[in-house]
Amino acid sequence: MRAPDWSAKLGVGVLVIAALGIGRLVGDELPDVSDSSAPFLRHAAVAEEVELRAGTVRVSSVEMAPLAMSSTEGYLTPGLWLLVTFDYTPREQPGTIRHTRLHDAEGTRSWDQGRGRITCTPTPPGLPSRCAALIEAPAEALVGSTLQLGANLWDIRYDDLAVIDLGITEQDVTAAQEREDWIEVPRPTVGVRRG
Amino acid sequence: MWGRGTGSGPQPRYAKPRPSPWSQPVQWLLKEPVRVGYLLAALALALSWPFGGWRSAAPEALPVGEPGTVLSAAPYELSVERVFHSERPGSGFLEMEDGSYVVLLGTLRSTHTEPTSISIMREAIQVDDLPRQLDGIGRPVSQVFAGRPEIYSAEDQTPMTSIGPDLEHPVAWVWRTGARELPDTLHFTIHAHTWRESSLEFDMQWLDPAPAATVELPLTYQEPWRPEEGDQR
Repeated sequence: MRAPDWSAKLGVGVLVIAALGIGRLVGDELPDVSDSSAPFLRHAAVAEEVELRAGTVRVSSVEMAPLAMSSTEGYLTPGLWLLVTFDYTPREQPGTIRHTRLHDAEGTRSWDQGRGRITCTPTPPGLPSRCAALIEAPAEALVGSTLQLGANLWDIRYDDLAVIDLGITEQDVTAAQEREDWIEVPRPTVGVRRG
Repeated sequence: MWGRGTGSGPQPRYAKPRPSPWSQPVQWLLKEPVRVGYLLAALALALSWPFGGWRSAAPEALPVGEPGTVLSAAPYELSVERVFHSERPGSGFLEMEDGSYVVLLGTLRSTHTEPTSISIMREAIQVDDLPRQLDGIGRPVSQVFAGRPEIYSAEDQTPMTSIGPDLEHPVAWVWRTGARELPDTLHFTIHAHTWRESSLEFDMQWLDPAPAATVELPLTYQEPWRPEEGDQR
């Protein structure tokens, strides 16, 4: 006797649902794509060199003030301007630092250059340059903050990033808030000697 | 004793059972299980009919924002103060000869933990009834971008490109128009976004801007900014 048509269809449906369930279980056990593609972080302090895939970077100075001046414009902020100057030497291909991201001490909030800027220009392999990143952030967030530097602007998956402990204290922030002068954003220089 | 029809001889005559009027439709229905699904869907639709069926629900009235009050529109908190038009609202703008800038002043603060981009900021507040909108080089604004402003810091007139968390910026939302005559009042719609995974890029993003509040403000005129003697701007 032939089995009813719909019992066979029901069986197929059950098999499909079971296959989907197993697929979901396997998928849940695999690492999340954001974890597996996360950048490699190279921690360092100010004045320490960091070897990255694309080159070598070293932060040379950190400065803060409520007002920043470039050669053409002045920038006010409801927080503080942070100016980080660094040297970068590309290794095998022409390049520069394009990615900057400031994180607070807890690592839960972050700021990019926004209205600020990165002054870097690409240089050939082996030729160092000195440039700066200007970022605005709330004053309270700067204490204990770290700065990420990388060679790719947006896509930092699988790349490595320098994570610089800027060494900013509460006293530094208070002193910066009381400054009546301003930060001068320096023009980038090429061929600077490290030191 | 009645046999089972195997014997020869005369067969008894008895009344054939009368079939139920439902038996044939029920058999037809059960022949294909999908037909049961269709029936249930049709029943659900029929039951929803007295409550409106597939008719669009009347949109809920949006809250009306007042000048100076803080409006929440994820991922931002913003307030508006006043709106004016001018041929040159400040030194950072070139004078418009065949039109004017419409400038909405207020504050903008991001509540997100990471920087949000200018495209999200531009979707957050849009003008509803500004005629003949122009883009930055004087062309009519395409329908897709109609109502979306340029955004500047109100303190130093530098363009906003992204905004990080917990910084309350005084901002100027700026539109350009080629209209000779402008309305006495302008209406703005505040849009809130939803933090969800993008179905195209598979990462979390602020998407789906949806109206969250409206603001109506009188449009005033402001004399164009003029450089002082010796000022080259």
